[in-house]
Amino acid sequence: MRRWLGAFLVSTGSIAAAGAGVLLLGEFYNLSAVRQHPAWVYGAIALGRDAVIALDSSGIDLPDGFTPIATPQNAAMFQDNCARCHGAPGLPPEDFALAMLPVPTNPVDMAMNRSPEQIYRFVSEGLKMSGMPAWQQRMTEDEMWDVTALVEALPDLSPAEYQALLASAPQPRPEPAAPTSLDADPDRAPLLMQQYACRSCHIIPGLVGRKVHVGPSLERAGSRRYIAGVLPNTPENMIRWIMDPQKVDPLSAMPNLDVSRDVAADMAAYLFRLSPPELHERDEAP
Amino acid sequence: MRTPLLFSLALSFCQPPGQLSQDETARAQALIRAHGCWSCHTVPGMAGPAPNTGPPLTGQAEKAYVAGVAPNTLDMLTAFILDPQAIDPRSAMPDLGLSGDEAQLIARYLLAHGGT
Ligand code: HEC
Ligand code: HEC
Ligand code: HEC
Repeated sequence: MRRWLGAFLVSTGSIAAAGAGVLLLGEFYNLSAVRQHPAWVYGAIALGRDAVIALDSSGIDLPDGFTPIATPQNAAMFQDNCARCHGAPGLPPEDFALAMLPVPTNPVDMAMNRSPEQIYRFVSEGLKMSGMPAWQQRMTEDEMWDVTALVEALPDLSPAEYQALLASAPQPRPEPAAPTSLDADPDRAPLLMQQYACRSCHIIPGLVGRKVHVGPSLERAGSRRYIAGVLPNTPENMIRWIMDPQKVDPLSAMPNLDVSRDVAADMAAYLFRLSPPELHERDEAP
Repeated sequence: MRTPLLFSLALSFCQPPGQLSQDETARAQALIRAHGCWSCHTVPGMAGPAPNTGPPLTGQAEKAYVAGVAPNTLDMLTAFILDPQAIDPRSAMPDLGLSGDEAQLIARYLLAHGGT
């Protein structure tokens, strides 16, 4: 019994000491974006990232006939969505992205070091705590493969050729489309609400985040009599609200987040499942 | 001698600045009852059926906005309780005919009562 206790104390003690060592030597306590990790910590994180990405992307199949190719369309798609952070041949990222940590990878470097499956995996799911967003709600699967094909084609493209493609891109520029689905499914909603940043303003049961009160908690929004205090609560009105709050109430602090009808329907179904609509007679004012 | 002094000093720091006297609290609760606020809202410090016509008034001090449209200050909260449509013409909350002082007392009550 005593031996067990001793072994337990020694092992937890050394784990704690190792943890403290990594925290201090790795400068994890320093959260500023002007202090890099020491090289060995950066190396360890990159090793972990690459192992996980290799595993993740092993389940992805290339679509039939996939080839690296640059067209005016996919170059424009890359320029408008990705080059903001990553830059493009001969073109800089936007000013703010220069000071991100980690600094967004140069896209030619991506192509030289990553398989198409891995690029697709980054585009579709993003990379936690790096600033790389997930695009699966911003682009269709085909569009994500088109962008992947462009990235893989970049090493063979001169800056002048890239910019010539952009110049010949169709006007107005093609906008990426959100994927569509047929039936409302509340099970999809937590992921969607996360992907549309609802949690940055609302507390939502089922999603993790800070204690925020910019918008009301959505715990009982499904059974509230009025949506945002102005619109009778029906499934159709809930979808309308989520799609365009300021069309319902021009004074509202909730912005239009460009949510498609399908996605709003999933979110509404989730809110009604959290808190089913009640009969309201007894709440009537006296 | 020092200890009770320090203790009461510490206590006074624990109280939020807008703390109401016992008398004010009783008057605010009486107004809330008389005007039926709690038939539409969950009201902090008053047990009731948790109606859900309007949003809960619990944790009012933590909210960023009054009714989702105006910065949450004492003045704005008072103005909304006094005349909701003056703040948001589309608001479904009725004007309950309070006086300015009554509305302000209720607003102070709500801001002082954080939890449920
Ligand atoms: C808001 C900025 C931002 C935008 C927009 C952005 N990315 Fe990223 N991306 C990043 C950051 C930051 C990283 C992480 C770099 C690291 O891990 O060192 C990253 C990583 C990647 C990686 C992995 C790179 C590697 O080799 O490790 C790929 C691939 C990638 N992005 C592709 C894209 C594509 C394609 C788009 C457009 C659809 C895009 N990104 C849009 C910021 C962005
Ligand atoms: C920038 C902050 C912000 C974001 C992001 C945001 N909301 Fe809101 N939301 C608000 C505010 C503020 C209100 C109150 C608006 C009002 O009363 O006019 C609100 C109100 C609501 C309501 C009505 C709640 C009630 O009790 O009546 C619902 C439902 C809602 N939001 C859902 C969503 C969903 C779903 C998303 C993600 C697609 C989202 N919100 C993203 C700020 C935000
Ligand atoms: C008939 C139902 C009803 C009654 C009675 C009522 N309210 Fe409201 N109240 C509402 C509705 C609906 C809203 C949402 C209005 C909006 O967002 O524009 C609301 C909103 C509010 C808000 C804003 C809450 C927030 O989260 O920003 C406050 C504060 C408030 N009411 C206080 C009161 C007080 C105090 C009384 C009593 C004097 C009262 N209400 C009586 C229906 C009612």
